Amino acid sequence: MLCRFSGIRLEVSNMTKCCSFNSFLRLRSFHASRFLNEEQKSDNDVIKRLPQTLITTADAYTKKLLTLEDTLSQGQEFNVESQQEFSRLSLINGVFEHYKSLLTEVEELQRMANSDPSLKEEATDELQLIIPTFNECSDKLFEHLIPPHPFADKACFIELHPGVGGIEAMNFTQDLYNMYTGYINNKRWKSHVISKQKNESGSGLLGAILSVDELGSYNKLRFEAGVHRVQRIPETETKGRIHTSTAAVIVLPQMGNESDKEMDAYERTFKPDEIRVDVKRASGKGGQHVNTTDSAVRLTHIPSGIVVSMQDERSQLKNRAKAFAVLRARLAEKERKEKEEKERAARKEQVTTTDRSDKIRTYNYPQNRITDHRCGFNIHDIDGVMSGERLQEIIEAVGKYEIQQRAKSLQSLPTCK
Amino acid sequence: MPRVSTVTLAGSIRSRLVLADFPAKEMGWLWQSCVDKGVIQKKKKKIHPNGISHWARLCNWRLQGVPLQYLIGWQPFGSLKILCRNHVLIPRWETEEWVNDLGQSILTCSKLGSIKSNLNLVDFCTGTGCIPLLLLKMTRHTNIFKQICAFDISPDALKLTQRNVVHNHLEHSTNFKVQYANILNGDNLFPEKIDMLTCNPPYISKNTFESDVEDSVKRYEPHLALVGDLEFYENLIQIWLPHINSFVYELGSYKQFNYVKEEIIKHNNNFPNNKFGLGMKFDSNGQIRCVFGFNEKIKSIFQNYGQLIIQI
Repeated sequence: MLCRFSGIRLEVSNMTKCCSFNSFLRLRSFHASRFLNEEQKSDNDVIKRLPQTLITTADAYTKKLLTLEDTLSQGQEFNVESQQEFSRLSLINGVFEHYKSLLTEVEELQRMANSDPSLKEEATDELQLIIPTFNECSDKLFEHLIPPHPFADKACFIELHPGVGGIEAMNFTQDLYNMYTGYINNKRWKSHVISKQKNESGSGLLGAILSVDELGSYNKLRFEAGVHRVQRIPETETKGRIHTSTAAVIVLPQMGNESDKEMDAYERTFKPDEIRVDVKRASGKGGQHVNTTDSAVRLTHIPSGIVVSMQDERSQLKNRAKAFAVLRARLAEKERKEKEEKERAARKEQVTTTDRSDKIRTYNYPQNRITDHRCGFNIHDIDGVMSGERLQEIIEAVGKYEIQQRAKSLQSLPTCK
Repeated sequence: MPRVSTVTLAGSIRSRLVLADFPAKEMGWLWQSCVDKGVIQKKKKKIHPNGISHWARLCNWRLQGVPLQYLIGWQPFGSLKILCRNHVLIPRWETEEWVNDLGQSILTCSKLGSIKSNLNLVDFCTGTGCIPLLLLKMTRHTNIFKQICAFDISPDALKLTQRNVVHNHLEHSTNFKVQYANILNGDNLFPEKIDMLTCNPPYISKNTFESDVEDSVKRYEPHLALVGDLEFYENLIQIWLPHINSFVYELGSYKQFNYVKEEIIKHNNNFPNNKFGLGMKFDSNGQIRCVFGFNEKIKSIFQNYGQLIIQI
C-alpha cells in the first residue's frame, strides 16, 4: 500500500516537473529558435557575399572619405555637418575593410580546401569558425550601405484606433496605449499626448494620438504600424469564450519641429484655399455674448479629403496648430506610400516589405504568446511586452527581417537600384 | 393626493443648472487645475479626501454655470497664460484670433521693413490686458513697440492686468503702463501721437442683452464690460481720430460697423490730408468681429489683415 502511494506520488511529482519544464521550454523557445536559425546557417556554410552594386557603393564611400579627410586635414573649414559625415564614413570604411580582409581569408581557405587534400580537414574546420563572423560582418556592412528610410531621423506620432470587437477592442486599444507609453518611458524619450478620447460609457479608448518627440523614433516605431489582433477572454464575457478583436496603429513622421514660437509654422505650409477650417458653435453671435469652453477645430484638406479634428486644448489656436501638425504628418505619410508604390511598380517585382501586410501581430493571452506575422517571431511573455519592457525585442526582430527582405530584393535584382 | 411627477421635478432641477458644453473634458480640466494648484497630489497613491472634495466643489460650481476660467483661474491666450478673476471679462477665442493675426501681420511687416519701429500702442478697456500682452509677447524680439499703455475704468481689471504682466514675465520687455481712465470723459490721456489703438469695448446693446447673451455670461461676468451700444465708437470718431494713426476695435454687429464707416467717409471728405482706410474682419465662425482703420503711416500692416472697404 505504502509503495503504491509513494509510486503515485512519484509519478505526480514527475508530471509537475515535466509541466514546469515544458513551460520553461516554451518561455525560452524564442531564444532557442533564434539559436537554431544561426546553427542552421552555419551548417549550411552559406557565405553571404554582398552584391556587386553594394560593393561599388562602398568603394565610392571610401573615395569620398579620402577626399573629405584631405579637406579636413587642411583645417580651413570646420563645420558640424562635415564632421558627422566624416565619422559616418569612417565607420562604414572600417566595417568595409574588415569585410574585405575576412573575404580574402575565406577565399584563401576555400582554395586551400579544394586544392590541397592534406590540408582539407584543417581548412574546413577553420572555415566553420570564420564563416559566422564573416556573415555577421557582411550583415553589418549591408545595414550601413542600404539607403536609410527617408524619414528615419524624424520624430513621430502614434495614432491608435479600436477596430472590430466593440468594447473589447477599445480595452485593447487602451492596453496598446499603455504598452507604447511604457516603451517610451523605458527608453526615456520625451512624449506628450496630443489627443485622447476615452469611451464615455464604459472602459477603453475611442482613439488617441501620442507625439513622440525623440528624433529618430519614427525609424523604430514605424514597424508598429498595422492591425494588431488580440485573442483573449474579455472581462465582460460571462461564458468564458475567447474573443478576437483588433486595433489599428498608425505611425506618422513629424515633419518639422514644433515650438511655441512658431505655433502656426505648419499652417503656413498650406495654401489658404486648400484648407477649410471649421469651428464648433456655428450659430449665435459669438464674441462677448458667449463664453464657450468648446474649442474644437476641424480641418479639411480639400485636395486629398483628409479630415483632422482636435478638441483637447482649451485654446482654439493650440487646437488648430496641433491639427495642422497631424494633417502635415498624414499627408507626408501618404506621399511616401504613393512614392513607394510607384517605385515598386517600376521594379515590376513584388517585394514584400513590412508595411504591406495589414494584420501584423497577434496577442494571444490564453497561450501567453505574441506572434509577429511578418517575421514569424514568437515571444511568450504577454505581461513583459504589454508593459513595454520587452517590446524592444519584437521591434528588433522585425527590423532585422526588413533588412533581410531588402537584402533579398537587392540581391535578386543586382542591376536595379 | 396630487404629487409632482418625477419628470417635472427633473425638468425643474435641470432648468436651474446650466449644463457645461463639454462635461467630461471640463471635469478633466478642473482635475488638472487641482493637480496644478497642489490640492491633489498625483504622485501619492491615495489621494487626500480634501482634494477630492475641493474638486467636487469646483464641478458643482461649474454645473451652476460659473465660468470654467474663473474656477481654473486662467485661460490660454495665444502663447500666454492669462489669469482670470471675478469682475473682469474673460478673454474670448474670437479676440485671441484677431489679435494673433494682427501680431502676425506686424511681424511680417517688420521683417519686410515696411513699417518703422518704436511705435506707441494704446489699449482701451483692457480688462485682463490680454490684447497688448499678446502683441508684446509676439513682437518682443523686435523693437517695434516703444511704449505700451493699457487703460481701464475698473480697479479690479487694472490690478489683474498688472498681475498678468508679471505672470507672463513681460515686465522688463518694454515700457508697459497700466492706468486708470474713464475713456468716455478724458481726452488728454496720452500726449504723443498713438500709432495703434486697440479696444475691445462693451458692445452688446441693452435691448438684445436679455435675449442673445448666454446665461452663464449674464450671471457671472461684469455687465460693465458687456453692455454698450455706440458710445465707444462715437468716442473714437469724435475724440481720438485726430490723435491716432490706426485703430482696431472689436464689435458685435453691423450697426456699429456701419456707423464707423459713415463717419470715416465724412472725415475723409473733411480732411483730405489725413485720410483713413477702413476694413472689417470676420472670425472663424463667419461673424463680423472687427473694424479697423489706418492712415498712410501704418498702412502696410493692414493690407493683408482683413477685408478692405475703403482704400487709400
